[in-house]
Amino acid sequence: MKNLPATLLRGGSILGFVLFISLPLVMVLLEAFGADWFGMRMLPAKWTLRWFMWAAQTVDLKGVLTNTIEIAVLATVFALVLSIPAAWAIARYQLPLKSLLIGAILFPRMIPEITFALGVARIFYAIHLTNTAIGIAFAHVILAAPFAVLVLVSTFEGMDSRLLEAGTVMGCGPFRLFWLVTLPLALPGLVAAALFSFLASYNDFVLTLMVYGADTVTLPVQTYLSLGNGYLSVAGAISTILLIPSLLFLLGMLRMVSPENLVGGLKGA
Amino acid sequence: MMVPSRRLGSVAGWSFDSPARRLPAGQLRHVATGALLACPLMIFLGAAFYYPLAYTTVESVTPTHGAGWTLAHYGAFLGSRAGLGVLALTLSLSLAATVLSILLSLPLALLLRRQFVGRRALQFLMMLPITIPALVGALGLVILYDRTGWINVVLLRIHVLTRPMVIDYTIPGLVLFYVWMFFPYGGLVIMSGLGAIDPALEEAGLVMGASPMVVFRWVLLPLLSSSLWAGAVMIFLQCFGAFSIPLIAGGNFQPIGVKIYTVANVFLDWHQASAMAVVMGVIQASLVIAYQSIARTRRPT
Repeated sequence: MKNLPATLLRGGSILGFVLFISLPLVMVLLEAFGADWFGMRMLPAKWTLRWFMWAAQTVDLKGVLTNTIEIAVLATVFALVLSIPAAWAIARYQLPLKSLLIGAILFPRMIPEITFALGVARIFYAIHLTNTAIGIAFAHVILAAPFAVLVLVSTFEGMDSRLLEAGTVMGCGPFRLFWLVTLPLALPGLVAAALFSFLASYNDFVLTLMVYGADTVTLPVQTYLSLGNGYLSVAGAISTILLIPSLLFLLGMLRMVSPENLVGGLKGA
Repeated sequence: MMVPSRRLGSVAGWSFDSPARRLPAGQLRHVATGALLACPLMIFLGAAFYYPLAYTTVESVTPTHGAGWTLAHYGAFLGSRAGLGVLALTLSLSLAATVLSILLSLPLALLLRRQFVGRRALQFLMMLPITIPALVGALGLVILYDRTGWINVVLLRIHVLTRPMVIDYTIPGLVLFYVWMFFPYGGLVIMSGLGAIDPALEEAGLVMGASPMVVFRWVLLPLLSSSLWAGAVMIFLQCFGAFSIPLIAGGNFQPIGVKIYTVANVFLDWHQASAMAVVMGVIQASLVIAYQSIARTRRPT
């Protein structure tokens, strides 16, 4: 210890930061797993799974979870189907007005969701897409596709053309070339794009709030509804389930890339 | 050092089917194929994003009753005390949260440069607020800073306070919650800016006998200033667009995002809400353009 006060100051500020960031989530967990937690108590009097049971019975947690996952899977598939060709074109073709094209694809992430959610809600309502899984998935693709394109363009640009040429020279047909060379090279990018899309849809609140209906309540919307009804603990229980994919995603991602390479952000408000 | 740019928007990355370039007919086919590949996504975004945006803009200038067009909805928002109050609230919340977030992220980014035990865990925590759904963060913050939450209980027990402090549903509380949720955007930009600084410059300063503080003030800070500005704009943008936090934790304070939602869904005044949405979108888009011009000058290409 060459400099005790400096070390203490550093340790103290790290501890403060850790508490500042982590305590709100600890509170959500305490709310979800605790009972009789009120007044000046630090910890709940009892530990319980009651709120999860409540959620299962009163707000049809299973149905809500099924909706959320179904919509997220649909949104992921749509986002990939639309983004892969577009990203391929941006990465490997010389196109006029390319920066305008990229700007037009990224623009939905640049303005707050609520600004276009109004119009989306009005139009979806007119053509009966509100309260349908397909409709909500479409709305989520607006958020997911820009990310998917960003990830895929850098994947496709990074692919070594010489490998593709080598495949052709070695006598691969277009199909075998795709299967044996292109796909394995692009796979990490495709997986990343799929995960980003899934998470964007699974976590989305603002757009969903504008286009959901009685049959298509998702986890974030149900969290909000339970809060509105005053069931704080049920909201905590649903939030706990809502958190799981984000935490897994973050753990997995930090293993692969350093966070400063992710400038551009992960999600909206 | 000049490196071939792989940046988005540069005319890069084509070689595999390059013979097409030489023949005008082949080039036409090349462009046509590329355009065709981008078509499905553009058609989708046109229908699901740009059309709703245009629809909202048209709604915003349509009178509530009757035909024709009007700027009355903009007038009602931008010309009223209440409307300007909403804008002032949104901007001042965002500004305060931005300044505090930069003050938090700068030391953190400097700290995270070094290798030490637990660095990965700190990175995890730093990314946490922007990865999880904002709604869950808002819920946790409201519980933590409640009158019977941990912050108050601890401060009462160690006799810093004699009465519980009200933090939830106040403006300082909202600023604090914004900082929690949005500072990582600034932290990430500053971290990537720090990563781009040649360590030799700092070492040179230290070797020449400057104290770490002097090196920080006269070497690191000038090199970092564009990152700091870019990070600040990034945080400001996020605060300006915030929705879940003020919806849950704002109480009577409704910044523009929440106000739009209330006007549309509670008062069912879609024309008024549309005008506010257009104002919000225009402000945000101008800030994005400002951000990009800063980010561009930052890159030494």
